[in-house]
Amino acid sequence: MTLTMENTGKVATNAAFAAGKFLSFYLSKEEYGIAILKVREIIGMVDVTPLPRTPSFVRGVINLRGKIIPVIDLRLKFGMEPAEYTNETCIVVVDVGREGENSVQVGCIVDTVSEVLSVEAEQFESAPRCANAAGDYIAGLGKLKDRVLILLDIDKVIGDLNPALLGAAG
Amino acid sequence: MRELEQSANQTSLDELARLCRVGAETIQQMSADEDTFAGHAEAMLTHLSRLVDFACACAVAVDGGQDCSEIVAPSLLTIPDPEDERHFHETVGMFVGHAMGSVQELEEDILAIESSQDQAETINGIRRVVHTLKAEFGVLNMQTPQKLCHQAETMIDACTENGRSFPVDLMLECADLLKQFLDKLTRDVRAEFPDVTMLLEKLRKVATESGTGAAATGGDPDALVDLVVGGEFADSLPEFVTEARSHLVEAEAAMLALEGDSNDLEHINLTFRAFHTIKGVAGFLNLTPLVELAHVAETLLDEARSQRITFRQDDVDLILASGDLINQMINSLEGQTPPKVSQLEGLVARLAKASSRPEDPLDADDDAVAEAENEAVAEAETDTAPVAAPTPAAPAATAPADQTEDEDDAAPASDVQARRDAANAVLQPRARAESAEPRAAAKVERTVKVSTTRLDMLVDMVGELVIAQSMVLQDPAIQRLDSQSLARNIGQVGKITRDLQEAAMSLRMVTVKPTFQKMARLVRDVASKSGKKVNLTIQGEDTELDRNVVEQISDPLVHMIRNAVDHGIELPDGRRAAGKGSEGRLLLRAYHQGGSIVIEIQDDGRGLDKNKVVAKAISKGLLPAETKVAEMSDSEAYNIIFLPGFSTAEKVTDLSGRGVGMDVVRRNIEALRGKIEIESKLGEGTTFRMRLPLTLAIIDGMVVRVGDERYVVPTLSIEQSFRPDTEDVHYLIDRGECVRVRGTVLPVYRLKQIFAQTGGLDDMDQGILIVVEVDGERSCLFVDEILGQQQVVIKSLGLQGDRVSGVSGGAIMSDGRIALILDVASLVNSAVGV
Repeated sequence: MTLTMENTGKVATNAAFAAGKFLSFYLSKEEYGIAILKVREIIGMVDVTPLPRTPSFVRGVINLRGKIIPVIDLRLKFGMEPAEYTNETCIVVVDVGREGENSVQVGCIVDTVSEVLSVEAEQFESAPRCANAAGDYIAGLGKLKDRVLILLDIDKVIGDLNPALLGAAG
Repeated sequence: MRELEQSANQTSLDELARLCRVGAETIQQMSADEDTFAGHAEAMLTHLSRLVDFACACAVAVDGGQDCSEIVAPSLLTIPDPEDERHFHETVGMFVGHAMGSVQELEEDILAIESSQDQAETINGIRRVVHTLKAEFGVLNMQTPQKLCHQAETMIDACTENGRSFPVDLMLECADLLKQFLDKLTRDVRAEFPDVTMLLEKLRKVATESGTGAAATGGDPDALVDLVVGGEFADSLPEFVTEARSHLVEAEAAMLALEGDSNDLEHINLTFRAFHTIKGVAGFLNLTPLVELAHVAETLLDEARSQRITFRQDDVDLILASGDLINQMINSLEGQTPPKVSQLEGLVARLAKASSRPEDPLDADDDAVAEAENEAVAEAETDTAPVAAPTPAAPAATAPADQTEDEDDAAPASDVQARRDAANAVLQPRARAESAEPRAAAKVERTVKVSTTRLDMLVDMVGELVIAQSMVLQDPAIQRLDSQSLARNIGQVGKITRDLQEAAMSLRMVTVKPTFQKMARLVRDVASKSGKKVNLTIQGEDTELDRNVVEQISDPLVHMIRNAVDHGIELPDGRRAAGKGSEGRLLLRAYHQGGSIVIEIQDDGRGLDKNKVVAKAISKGLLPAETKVAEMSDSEAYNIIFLPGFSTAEKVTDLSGRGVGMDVVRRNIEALRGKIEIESKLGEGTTFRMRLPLTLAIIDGMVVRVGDERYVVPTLSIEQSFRPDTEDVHYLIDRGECVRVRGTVLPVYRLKQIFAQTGGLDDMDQGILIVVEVDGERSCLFVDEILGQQQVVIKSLGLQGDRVSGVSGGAIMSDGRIALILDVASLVNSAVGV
């Protein structure tokens, strides 16, 4: 049952990803994109309260106007070298999960946010298959004129946050 | 002209008479005002010629014996007075502009139906638009389009009522026609509406077809009851569900009370009103199966309250069963499985049989009269019942209902004529009921139903306000200012904020009454199943608790009450042998104590046998075999019954004995941050005492610091705190750090270590030890310092699903940063492994 559900979910997201607007940001030297509809807001780096007994990429929780939301460091999530937080460092607050009650907001720490880009259907390309692909994080690639945008399926990136938490806790 | 008018009056041809009058007035005007004569003369001519045509048509119709109203009067050519004419132009102009928009909307809605998820809502939208158009055409006296709209409306109603697919093509045709007409109107205000006879016929056909279509659908006995909400009031479904539930609870309580005195009319009346209200509202929502069931139940109650039959024990059972089934149907409206059709039909048949049993002195002939009377009563009550039921004390509303009651009673059962009179008399109170309603309504109006999401939002926002206020207060910039008035004003704001918070919190409070009443039902069922006699006393049912808490105590209560009746209270014989009354006593009460709510369940049964409990636990392998009963305290021994898998029952019955119940109880209560205590005396009874927080949203906590981080430790779990002497701290191999506190040795857990923090003190004599109690075991938490005690608003950490172990949530502190709230139980349990 889970299998079929995942499959349909994937088809739907891919269709949604095929074209549209993306918020692009940098992690290290690579430029990534998150579907703009998933992005709720962008805030500067704030004081993060660490959350004990969670994987290292979960930086902790922040107070977003009275609502507590967890924050993850995308660099650490993707196994990159941690970087010092600078003035450029931003927290991109995204909505993940289904619409309505079940959706949660999660902050993603990125090096710097660059712009909002349109990726047309013909510029979209599925991610190359790699033997050692760890997760399904990449929805596809956006081939722009001069560069390539790595389009993230943010639901998948955040989606395994909770099992990870549970694993660490148990 | 006058003569014509008179003759028209004589033949009661209203329309003709009106036109004649108009003609006469026009002639008068002509003679009064010479100037406009030319213009008026022209209008007059047209008018007259139309009048003649119409009169002819009427004459023909009258000759043929037809109804004149069938003939469409010539389009209104009223007084062609320039003033009126301009006015008419303006009105039509305004109307056309608006109507164009409406028709556009109509068209969009119709098209949306095919793709829409929420068809019912879209169809409702269409119905509203059509209805508005109808009314507007009516105002402008444009009869043909009005008729068209009316017919379309009827058809939509018929279709939704019977759950048929929506005739999209036909509706589009109507919309097109209306659009054409409106187009024409913009050019000529007196444009004729195109011929619609064909279309009207089609609409009528579809409307009637759907009626027969539904009647044909037969029932498969195993099929589930199909409840489709329809009708004009479909939007009010959520209110219906809530209201119906509370009515059912009321009815159930009345039924249970009735068991004491089976002919107490007031209880029967109350139940009758509850069922009647449910039936009425369900009728608006087109929930036919529900209406049907409520109706037969009502009939039985009505027979009983008019004392045609004696209300017996089986009848109570039947009514309770109906209540349950209705409840199930209501639940199904919210997505749960609906009951089976066969179940419904069986119950309906039993109810019908019960209400027409031979005790009834009336023969078949009188039944018709009785039924007519029922309907009259029902009608009279439709007006009063919805108001009367929630406030049975409101004399204005109940009086008419009682009156119908009296009239029923006054009628001798055998005298048919008297019954007829009663039936007639019953109709009169109806008028009184209507006049009484506004007064009663004003009383009820003082409560407002608010959705819980909005309420939670308000509570959240007030919580924010409190934090923001203290942030302002503690801002260094403010504190530097040395102004007395500022300090006073800030203090004032602080006070108001706190009051506001309290008021907001109190909005979420509800009484435990419905939950307790559910228990009354449970006691009755369990007692009759296990062959015991139990007398339940309920106290403090008006005690208020946070809505969420009330919802969650229901399950533990069920388990505890079931246990008390099934295990605690003895069988009548056993009780008599023990020198007690054969009827067991059970007390369920709620009261405030020291900032929390206590709910107590007290029975006078056999009590807990400490030796037996321990022996049983050992035999089940829940305790090591060498455990000595004498060494255990009472509470330690009694707490054994909360262990999963523990049961004293010799055999597993369908009521209890699997050893799951008490484990569930403890878990649920702990989830609510409450505590449970047991008090018991062998042979005299047991008391279970639940101590619950008033609300789930706020917690009283001790703010502690470790390194740079602050944590909140719930005050409920703290016993004491102290600064240890170094010589009291020992390191036991294999056990870790321990400290001696007043002669006992307690394990020490360093928060810093558990949370793998880098900052924080290492030396014991620099920091503070907090003694916490978990499951009766004490241990110490080592922190840097205690910052103070404070009430904090609990917030979820925003993670889906499970929480981080050791942490139950977060609290936003006065500086806007977050402090984690510790979940002491899971913290200590997990620390054992660190």
